[in-house]
Amino acid sequence: MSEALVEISGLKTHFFTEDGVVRAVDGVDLSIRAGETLGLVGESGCGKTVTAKSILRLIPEPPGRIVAGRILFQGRDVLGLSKKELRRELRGNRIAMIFQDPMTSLNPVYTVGNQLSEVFRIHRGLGRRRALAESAAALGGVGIASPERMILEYPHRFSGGMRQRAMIAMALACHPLLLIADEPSTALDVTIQAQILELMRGLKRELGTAILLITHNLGVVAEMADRIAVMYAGHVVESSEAMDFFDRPLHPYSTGLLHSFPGRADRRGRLTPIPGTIPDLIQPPPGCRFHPRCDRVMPRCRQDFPPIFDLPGGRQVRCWLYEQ
Amino acid sequence: MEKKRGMVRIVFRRLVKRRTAAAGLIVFVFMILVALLADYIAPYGPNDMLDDMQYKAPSAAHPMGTDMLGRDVLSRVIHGSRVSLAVGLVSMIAASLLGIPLGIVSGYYGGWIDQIFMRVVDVLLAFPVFLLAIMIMVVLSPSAANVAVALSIVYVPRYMRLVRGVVLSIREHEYIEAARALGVRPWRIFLFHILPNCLAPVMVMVTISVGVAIIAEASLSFLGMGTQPPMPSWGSDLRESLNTMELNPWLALFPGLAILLTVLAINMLGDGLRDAIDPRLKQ
Amino acid sequence: MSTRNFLLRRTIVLIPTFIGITLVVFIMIRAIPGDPILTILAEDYSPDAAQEYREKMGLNKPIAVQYLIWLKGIVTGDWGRSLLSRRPVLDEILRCLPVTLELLALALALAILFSIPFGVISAVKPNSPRDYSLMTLSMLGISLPEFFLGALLLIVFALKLRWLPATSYAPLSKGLVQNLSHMILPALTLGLARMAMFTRLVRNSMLEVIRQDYIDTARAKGVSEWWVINKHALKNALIPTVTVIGLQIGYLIGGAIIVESLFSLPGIGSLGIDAILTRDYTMVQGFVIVSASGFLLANFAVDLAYLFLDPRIRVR
Repeated sequence: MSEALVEISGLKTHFFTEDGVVRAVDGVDLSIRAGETLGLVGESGCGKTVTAKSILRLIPEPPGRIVAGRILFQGRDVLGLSKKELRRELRGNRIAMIFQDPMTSLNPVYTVGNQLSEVFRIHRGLGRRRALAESAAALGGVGIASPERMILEYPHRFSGGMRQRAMIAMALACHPLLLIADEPSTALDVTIQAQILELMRGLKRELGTAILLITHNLGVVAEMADRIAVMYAGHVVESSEAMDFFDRPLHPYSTGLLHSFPGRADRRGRLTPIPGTIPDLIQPPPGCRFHPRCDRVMPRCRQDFPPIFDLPGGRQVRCWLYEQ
Repeated sequence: MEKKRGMVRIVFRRLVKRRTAAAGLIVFVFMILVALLADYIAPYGPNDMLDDMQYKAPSAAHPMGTDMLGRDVLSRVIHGSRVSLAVGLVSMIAASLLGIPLGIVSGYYGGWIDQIFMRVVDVLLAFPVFLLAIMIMVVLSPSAANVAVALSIVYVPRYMRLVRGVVLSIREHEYIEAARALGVRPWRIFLFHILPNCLAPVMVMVTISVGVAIIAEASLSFLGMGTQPPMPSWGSDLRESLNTMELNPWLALFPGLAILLTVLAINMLGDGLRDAIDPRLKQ
Repeated sequence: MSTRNFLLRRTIVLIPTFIGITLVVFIMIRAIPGDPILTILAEDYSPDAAQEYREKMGLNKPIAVQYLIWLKGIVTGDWGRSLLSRRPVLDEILRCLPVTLELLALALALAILFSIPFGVISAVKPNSPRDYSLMTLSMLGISLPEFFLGALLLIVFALKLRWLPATSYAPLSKGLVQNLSHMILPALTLGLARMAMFTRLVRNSMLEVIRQDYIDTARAKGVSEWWVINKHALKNALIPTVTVIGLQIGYLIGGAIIVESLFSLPGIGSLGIDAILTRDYTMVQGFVIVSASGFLLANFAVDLAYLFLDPRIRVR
């Protein structure tokens, strides 16, 4: 069993706002092995992005704060690193992150070459000219035509798909061990989506990068992920190998997700949405946070918060239904 | 109309919650009271010249000292508030009252009316505020009332532009289209649909521009083109104090502080108002 | 649109606006009560002189023609003569212009130079004690009338402490230090209020920018916080700020008039005020046209600056 590349335990990231404390991530355990793709799934607002940003400590200090937990990367305590070590060794170097909307993720007033070169200059100490050359090569490596010309262009001259490719090039420039991809294809057209995912798959094969793939799109996860973790209202509620998950989802929320997703509609061809809405993260419901929407709710669920139960096959569920 | 009353209450509550805006409101109300009750609270009249009391430094009897003619500075400052506040408030309210209908008509009807109005507005806006005010004062003879007129004229195009912008942005909204389709008369549309949307930005602009107007009146009086002596005005008082500034600095200090305090209060109020109406803009 | 078209469009718009400015000035002068010829000819007045003047200036002709004759004069450099000194108006203006330009340049430079770091410092830690104090100070700065601040600075630095000369002016030809010692108080007076306003602008603009995704991207790449703020965020934040600077220059020009009067600087502001107070209407005309045109050109320059900063409006 290879040692985990990333080990998150008990992570709690809260936001202190005028209206109250938003418990966006309220006790999350996750682990990612080297080279594996973990799909982190859930509705908007469940805490996936906050979890991901916490790994790189990208949480804005007011109003947010990582209040508890431990994040280990290659055995080292990420939360204990100095800012300088964080910047030098992890960010952009061993851990890279790409964001959801390629239209807003690139700085509009600097050329793509300038922004790409930054990574090479900061982490590989290259001079301006060599960094630009490497940038052109990197752009070519992600399938952008005439890269020597494109590095001199500004982001607004790139299409959405091209920008995402450039983002990927920027992220993978230093061959990171972990790539955090936050909804990498959501903001793109369907055809481009497929291309981007294909690109990511290819690069992963080549470089052996582990990927934390965050999405609400189960189709994407089905294609790319080795393992799946489902999040709801700030907690991980289920985690297992991808095949096992799609074969037989355990948590009622997971089941609901699968049934509400096109492509897995029931025989009558109808989609069944999950009733209700996500809970208020300032005042979450007592007991299991999913109980108000659960079709298999038991009296215990309304009162006691379920712990994680380990099941055979490396599967984990946070649901009273699976209490041994 | 119900919704509007609710909005006012919400905005007022948000306003009061912010300390600076509340402080601004209190000071502003205080200044208005001072201006209204000037005759009662000032120890002397603004032009009462006391024998042998010229150039006295601040003391218990005269907390702000006396000026070159033996007049009590405190009384002059209190009376001066009338001119400053009156000119500031009247000119900006008049400008908005004129600018709003013009802006609505321009924005709603578009076409050649809009073109003509906007050309005129553009040309008038090509002049800096103070310069245009000076120009108008050249045509009119110097007096406090004429300053109010001049400042009004300067600001009408600005209010027009503001309101026209609002009208353009909501003109295409469905409820306007619906009202038109139902045959509602234009003036009703203006009054009940368009006007409420204009009130918030106009109010914000009024609060901010009153501060500018007060400074402009004082500046014009300082240059000798505004309120004429012996009428008490913070600006002209400061002008007259310049000759003896070295020996009697308080003559310049107190009128200036009065302006500063008033405008500061108004600006804090205006800031708070803007935040209260659209808190998103704050952070 | 291409850079060339953008420039062309902006330049062409200058012309009708200038015409509009001259129209307003023409109307203003005509609107002054009293017989203009009496004022213009003053001591030399006689019915014959009046008639001669009428014919020369075409005052018998319809008003539109009068305007065109007058406009032709303006455009060809004949701005008339000062009613007081009898010297050509344009010459007087050109003589006084450098002083005003120096004052404006110094004030603007001061304002921009200090407001950028202050605004950035405020924005980086919003709602912190230092943010609050900077914002309060800037509130104060905006509410201070120029003549009061100028008077205060005069009293403190020139009269009480005697560090700096109180009034008048020393041209650059007499030496830079001399020149600056006379200009520093006026420039400070004029610049402080704008500095306060710009600081708030920069702060608010930075706050908006820092929230953007591309700032997260920069941090995730390992860029140091200093570069994230001063390279990635600042350039974006300055773009909307620059447009507002154009408007603020109007307040600068208005303020310059006051400051020149207070400090007795021989710039066009003083020239204009003296002209107004002595009813020297041809000089007033020249003063207003120069000031308004200056404002127009300044805004044009701001548009150009915009072109430099924002690559999105440059198209090949």
